[in-house]
Amino acid sequence: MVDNNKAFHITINTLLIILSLGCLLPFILLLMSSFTEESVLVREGYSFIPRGFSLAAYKYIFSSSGKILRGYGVTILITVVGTALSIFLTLLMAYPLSRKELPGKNIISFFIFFTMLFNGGLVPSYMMWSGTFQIKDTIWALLVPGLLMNAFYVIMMRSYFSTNIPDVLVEAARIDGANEFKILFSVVLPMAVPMIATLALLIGLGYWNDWQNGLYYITSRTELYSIQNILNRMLQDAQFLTSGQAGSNAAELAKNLPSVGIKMAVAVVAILPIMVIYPSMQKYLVKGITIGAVKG
Amino acid sequence: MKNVEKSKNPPKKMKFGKSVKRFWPFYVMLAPGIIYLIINNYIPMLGLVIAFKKIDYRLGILKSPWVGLSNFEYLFKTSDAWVITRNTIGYNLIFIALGTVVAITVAILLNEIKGIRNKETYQTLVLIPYLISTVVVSYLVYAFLSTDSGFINNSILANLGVDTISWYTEKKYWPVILVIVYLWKSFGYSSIIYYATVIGIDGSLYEAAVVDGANRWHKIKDIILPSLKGTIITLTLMSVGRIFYSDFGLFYQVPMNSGPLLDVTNTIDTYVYRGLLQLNDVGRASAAGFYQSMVGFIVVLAANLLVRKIDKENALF
Amino acid sequence: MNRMKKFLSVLLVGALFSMALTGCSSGTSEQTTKDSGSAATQMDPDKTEQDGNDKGSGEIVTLKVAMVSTSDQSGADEVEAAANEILKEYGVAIDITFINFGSWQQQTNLLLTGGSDSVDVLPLLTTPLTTYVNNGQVLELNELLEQYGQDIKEQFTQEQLNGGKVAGKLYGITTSRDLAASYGIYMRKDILEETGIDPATISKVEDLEEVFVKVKELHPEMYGLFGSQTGSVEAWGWDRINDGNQLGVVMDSGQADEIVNLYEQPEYETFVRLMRDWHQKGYIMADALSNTETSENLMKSGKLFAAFNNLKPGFAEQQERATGYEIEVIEFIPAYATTQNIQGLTWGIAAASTHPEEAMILLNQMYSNPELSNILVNGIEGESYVYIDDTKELIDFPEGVDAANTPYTNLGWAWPNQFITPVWSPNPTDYWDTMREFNETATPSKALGFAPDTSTITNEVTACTNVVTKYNYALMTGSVDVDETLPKFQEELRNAGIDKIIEEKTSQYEQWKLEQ
Repeated sequence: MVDNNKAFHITINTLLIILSLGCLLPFILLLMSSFTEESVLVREGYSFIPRGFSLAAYKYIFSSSGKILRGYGVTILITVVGTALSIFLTLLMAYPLSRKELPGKNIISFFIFFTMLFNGGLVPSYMMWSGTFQIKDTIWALLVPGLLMNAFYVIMMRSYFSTNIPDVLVEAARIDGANEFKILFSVVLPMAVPMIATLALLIGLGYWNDWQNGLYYITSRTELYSIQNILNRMLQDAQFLTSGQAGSNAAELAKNLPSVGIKMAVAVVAILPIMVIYPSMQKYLVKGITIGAVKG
Repeated sequence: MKNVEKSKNPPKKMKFGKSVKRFWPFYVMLAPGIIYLIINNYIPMLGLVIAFKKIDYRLGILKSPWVGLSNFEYLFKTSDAWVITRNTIGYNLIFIALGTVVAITVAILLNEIKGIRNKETYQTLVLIPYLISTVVVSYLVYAFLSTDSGFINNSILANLGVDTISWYTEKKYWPVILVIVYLWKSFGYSSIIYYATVIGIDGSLYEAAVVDGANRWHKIKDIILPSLKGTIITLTLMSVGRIFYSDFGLFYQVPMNSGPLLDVTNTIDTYVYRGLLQLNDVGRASAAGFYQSMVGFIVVLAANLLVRKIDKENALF
Repeated sequence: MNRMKKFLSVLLVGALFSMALTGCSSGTSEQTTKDSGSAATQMDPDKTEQDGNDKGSGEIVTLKVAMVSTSDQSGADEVEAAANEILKEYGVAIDITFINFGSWQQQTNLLLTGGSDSVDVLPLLTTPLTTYVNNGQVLELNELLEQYGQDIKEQFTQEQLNGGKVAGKLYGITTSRDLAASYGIYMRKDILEETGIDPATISKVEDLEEVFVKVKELHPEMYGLFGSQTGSVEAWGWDRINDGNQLGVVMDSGQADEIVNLYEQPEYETFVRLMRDWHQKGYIMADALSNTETSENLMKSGKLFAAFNNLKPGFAEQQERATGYEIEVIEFIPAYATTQNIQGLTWGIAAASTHPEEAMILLNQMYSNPELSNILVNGIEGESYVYIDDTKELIDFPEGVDAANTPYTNLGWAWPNQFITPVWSPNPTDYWDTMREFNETATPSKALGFAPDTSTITNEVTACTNVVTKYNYALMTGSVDVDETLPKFQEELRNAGIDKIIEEKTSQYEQWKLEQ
């Protein structure tokens, strides 16, 4: 028995190590390249072994450090607020739909799912949000369009409730006289922590990575740019300056701009915060295990 | 007969009143979300009429003339119509099948690992590919597959004494390459969703199984997989609804928009993009989206009906 | 249960419809008022003049201007204020929105949908002018130009103005920049000297071969000739009649009489065979097809010897500054002007603009007022530029400022008229005159001013575009075998309807020729 266990554990650990390396190594490649001197990068391509250390790419990015910091600030704000609002709305929708006896449950589920299938496109959305709702150049433009609630997550949460929350608990609470809101927040929610934490992560990632809302709806109040928008624009600028279209007086600048290094550095700067924050968020996922075990 | 009918009706009426009384908190809960979906999704959906019109911005969307189905013609009147449809559906089916298997496997592996630190580490690491944008992924792939400086040609093939392969002009390798890149990028993200369900499984089920003499393999087969059934069906149905869509970054940027590869990398989305780039034709672009949505809709309805027959609870609606 | 379902669905549908009505109706009413406004003023010249006079007497109309730029325009507000000081006497003011290059196409498309944030005046680039016209996004300018834009007419030749016409009507006014192009190659002078070959002996593309042979011997680690999709040779001695995919061209620098299928011409086949030969011999970079680096980048890192390119006055000096190496330029195809050169970037007025007359007044000033143009092009004196000579003809960055940290980036070629502004050192003081001469001595293509309308053949264009993407770049960079690929290419094009496209373009061309 013991041997079996050991062998098994070695196997799965090996498998996971291989997978993890497969994920980590490309990132290290990125990282090393972002610290490599530009001409070496162009001549010899990317490599794991650093040749010609250079901070030029990062210097370029952080030369407008004020903007970057503000960008991070904006992104963190909309991620936290957006995720909280989104989870709240998702919970509110998932719970009723998980009650088998709710009349109209199927129609509403269909109504929600249908939004995943049909999309009117950018132009009508844009016309509505900026014309009728006038959210252009406001913080709402970063929070509301497209990201505030998503049918996918509602259905995931509903599915989780149906599978993992025993009806007897809900019934018991009802008999005890609790109203539905109380049931949702005192009974169901603590048991759904793993899924909530998971969805919070996914929704949070959605907000963090979003560059489209900023691109379409923020045109004059540049202090509202998220970090993704700022990084994107830096990339585009770098490309533009080295493309030869910028005219003769930018040619000198183009000579010194580490455009390939910048692409790498931008990718690193975009990812790093998440990799730092994510482990601490995992505590909640783990907490869920222990709570679930106790309740079970 | 009439008596039976009469006695059927009144209970229904009472039921309605009672229903409202009993269920109103639920409807209140549903209200904000429904309103958001109406505003964010349904109202702009009316813009789908663009697919049937020739838009003249001077007249505005509502007043632009109707042109019936002519905006859809370009999707079919091409010798590529079969190729792009085959590619889109083919890749999606493979992605759904393999993606699910890999994600579940990883989720189960994560569950079996002892030690919270280890779990956290693995979880963080497998999420990295998802965080890297497809443009950057295309550079990384290029670092591997570049003809003269790529890792594979230089370090692996050279050592094996095999001729260098011009990866970006040989289309036969790309179905495999694209599947690998897709799995690499998405398995971490998908496994998290399955993992959440796995760790939510009631611990007492395991204890009962052990008492019954089950070994680890039984534990997986008889407890975990069935518990995941609902999630698997839900996720698969949702993926099926998008069967005519493809990830633009994966099919356009990763192959570096290389012409010779088009027979195996062209999907409906990339075809539309390439064709309409210069033309900026909102009507045709909208028609493509409508076509993709319509097909996905029909397929999902059919799939959902099928699921309902087999396992009513797990159907999407 | 059924009753309940029915009730709910009625409720939902009702809610949907009412929301839709409220949502959409505000949109349409906005549209109709705007349209009736501009239509009325357009139709009635008497009324227009009256309105113009009334507005000029004190009320300043603010016009929204969109402009392409880099991200950091910290000096934008000052520039706007300074510009408005000058524009006051003409009764207009501007509110400039700078849009990043990468987002330009997407954002301008949205800004031209006619909503409340629509722009009035903007440069039209990346999207073809004919597309803007077909979508009804830009205004016809003929009458407005006659009434308010007389000074604009003095800046250009009639041909250059005609380049902004679509189907005989004027929609865009071009800018002062290189309006023609010649084609050739630029290479590292030092390495060329190493090979011992005299550039004067190179007069045809084929002559380059011996240079590449030598370069490969001397520098095997370098790429001989550049290749990439975006840097591919295009319009190499033919007029592609405003079509990036070259579906139907006029050969011989636009001097031939008919529109033909480029991809079936002997010149095309000869060229791609040569490229294939060079690729196999290792003169062209192996991954030309998937290369994303610019030739300048590769050259400055010491990896590249030469690249084909469009040429213009001052090109060699520009590349020297960009790469840090001395550059030798050889021209293979003398300068010729096509519709694309002129129509590729024009300024126009949005169809949804509520002040078209004021917009034209603004354009008139932007094109002819040296003070205004200088502010828009170069920014504020002392902050983004300083004069370095007494005659105030040359400018350079102020102390401590360079192209990276300047508060206002120069995009002279994108603004209406940089020819009336000072010249940036190190260019010579007669730079603008040289450019003008270049534009005017370039051979005009016979199809100059003709821009076909493809709305009746859009399906064929889409299909052919995909075929061209599949094969053209691969052949042009020598990446695939010609005997196998070229026939397939030609056949698939025929199946996609290239003949129909050429037929349609030809009949429009004949019609246009008659009207000249």
